[in-house]
Amino acid sequence: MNDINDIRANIHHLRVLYVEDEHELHDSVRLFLGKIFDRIDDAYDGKEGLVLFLSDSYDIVITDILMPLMKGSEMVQQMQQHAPNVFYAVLTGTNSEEPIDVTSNLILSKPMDMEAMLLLIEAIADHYKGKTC
Amino acid sequence: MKGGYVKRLPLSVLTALAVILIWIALILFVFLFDLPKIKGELFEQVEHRLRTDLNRGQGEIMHDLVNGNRLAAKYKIILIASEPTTDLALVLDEAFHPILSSRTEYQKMLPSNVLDSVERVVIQEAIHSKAIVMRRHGNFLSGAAPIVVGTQTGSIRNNRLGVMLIRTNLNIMEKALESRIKEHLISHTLLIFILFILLIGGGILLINRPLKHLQSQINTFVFDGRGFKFDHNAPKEIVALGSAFGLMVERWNSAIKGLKDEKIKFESTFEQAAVGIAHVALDGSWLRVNQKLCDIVGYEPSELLNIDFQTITHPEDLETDLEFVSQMLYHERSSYTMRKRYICKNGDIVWVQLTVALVWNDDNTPNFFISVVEDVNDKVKTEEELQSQEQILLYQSRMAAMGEMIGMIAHQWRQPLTVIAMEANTIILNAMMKNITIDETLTNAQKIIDMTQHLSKTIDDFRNFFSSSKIIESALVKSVIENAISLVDKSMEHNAITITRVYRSNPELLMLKRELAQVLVNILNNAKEALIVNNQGHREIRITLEENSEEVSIKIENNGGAIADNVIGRIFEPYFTTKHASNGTGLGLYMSQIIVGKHHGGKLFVSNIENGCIFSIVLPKSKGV
Repeated sequence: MNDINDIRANIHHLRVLYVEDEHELHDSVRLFLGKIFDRIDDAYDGKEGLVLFLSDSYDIVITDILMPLMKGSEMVQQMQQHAPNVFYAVLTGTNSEEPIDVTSNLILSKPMDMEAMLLLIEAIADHYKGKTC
Repeated sequence: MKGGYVKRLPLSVLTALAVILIWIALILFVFLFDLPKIKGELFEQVEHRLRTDLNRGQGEIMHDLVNGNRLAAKYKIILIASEPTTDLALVLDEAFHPILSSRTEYQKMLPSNVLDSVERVVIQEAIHSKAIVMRRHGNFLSGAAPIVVGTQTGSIRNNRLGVMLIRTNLNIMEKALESRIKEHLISHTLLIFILFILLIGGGILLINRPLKHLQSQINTFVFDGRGFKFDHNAPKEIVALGSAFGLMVERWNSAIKGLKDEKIKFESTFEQAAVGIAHVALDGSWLRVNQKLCDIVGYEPSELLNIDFQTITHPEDLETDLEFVSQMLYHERSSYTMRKRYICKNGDIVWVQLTVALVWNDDNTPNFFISVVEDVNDKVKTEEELQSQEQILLYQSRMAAMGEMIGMIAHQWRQPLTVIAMEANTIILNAMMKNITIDETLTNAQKIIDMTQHLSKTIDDFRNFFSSSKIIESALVKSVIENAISLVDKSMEHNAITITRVYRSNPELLMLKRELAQVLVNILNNAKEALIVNNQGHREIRITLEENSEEVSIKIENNGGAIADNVIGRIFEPYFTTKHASNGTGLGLYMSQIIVGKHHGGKLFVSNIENGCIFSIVLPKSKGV
């Protein structure tokens, strides 16, 4: 495993959209992501996330699935129609409650351990390898 | 009819005995009443004669003596004494010297030799009182009458006071009496003998002949239900006697027939009854049992009659049974009904419904028990099955609720757990990046601790909800509603469902708190499911709590669409569900209705409104649990 600081150096500039309706969890995850990425935008619902996404450009979308107004899966589907190459990661708390009906780059189960989070970082790094700005 | 004759023989003996008794009674009457009466009469006669004699003698003899006609006086004395009952007649002077005597041998004798002491007293009393005195002494009745005795010394006549004494011998009277009694007895005996002969003869003539006549009539008698026919040439009395006798026999026969019918009816009732019937002695032994009872307990009648009810009663039921029995013996109750178990001959246990009454004697002592035994084995078994079925349903619904609850716990927990993980991840990341600071790490740690507290509280809520203790307690309905909401609010939030509370009052009720919360959670979850499927707009659940003087009502209203007509009538049926198989057991509303209806005496019903439905829980204030 490469040094985390080396990886960070390669991906810290990527723009992240993080969508999660649960505020406490949102804060925690955002704190973690903030250690890696410089620019993170927050959305608290699928609809809000989609509006932000369409009005701006992001490299990475990390989203929850179960949200009140628009589900994460639906949001990702619509985003993929516009920007199929963006890195999409889904954090799901639902093992069996609902089938995950979206093709994404990475699916992580809540609660995520360190291994899962490192996997996310490495997957992003792999996705954008050689695409440094 | 032979038997009739044998029974009539003692009757004639009795007649003879009666006659002898009458005889004895008559003799006793003669001796006890007749004889003393005759005696008294005779004595009175004697007394009367004595008095008459004294009176006459006093008059006539005094006249003769005063006139110096001594011979006439003497003659009169002798005349008086000539009566068979008169023993002695005397005239004495003051000094007790006899002047005249009925017996010449007494003339020269001293009065002390002739008179006894009583006679001397009588004489003295007569002289003193100048009146007639009479007194009985031994077998004698003596009377004295004062008299003037004229004496002549030369030509001088002296008038001196003397006394006349007459002694009557009662022995003679007794003798006369005896002969009178003999006469009496002979005449009585004769009379009775004649009467006896007459009675027997007359009896034989008057009774035997008609009896024989009746007998011959009875021998030819064929009962046709209308009565007897008699020879109408017989005397009127015999015809009357005969028809009276016939009527008597007829009534007797119909009474016997009635009794026989009753006996047959009773016996067939007893024997063919569809329930077990028994007569039981006070000590518990079977006196009489019918076939059905034997069938129930599997004993032969002869076997049952050799044991008592205690022997075949299940030991656990015996005490209750005996308690009831003693209550009846002490007049505390007249009968009782209980469910008990008998142990059959083959060892099986059979459930029966036993009804017992006590039959009392005329003197208010207990006689025997009448027991009616109904086989309720199948009924009890069915009840047990129903009960266990209900318990299975209750268990299943609890399991289902628990499944739902675990889902809810997973939901409630996943986010806090993720927060904890992420805080820890951040610490690790900082360490990896060699960028760790104490302040930030402490913040992360505090966040983790907060989350564990939150998790702990959540699990307490659920554990309370699931504890199966059935405590009936007084609680605020509002707090129960809030408790139920707290268990589901995360998933409601997740599904963008707004819960609106309208508390119009704040009632307190006796209730099974957790069961009621289970009902509320169930209804809220159903509402959630409906909203998710049917409403993509503004999802709302509205809870209204109100009360009137008698009831508390909780209305849970949602805008998740009306319930389909083919569904609304069935939603309270067990195992009925519209949900996907993995989501619902179909027991939630069924159990909810049991909890509200059976456990709280209330009502749970549903009605459709525009765009949704409304579940109403109505709980009575008075009845409660």
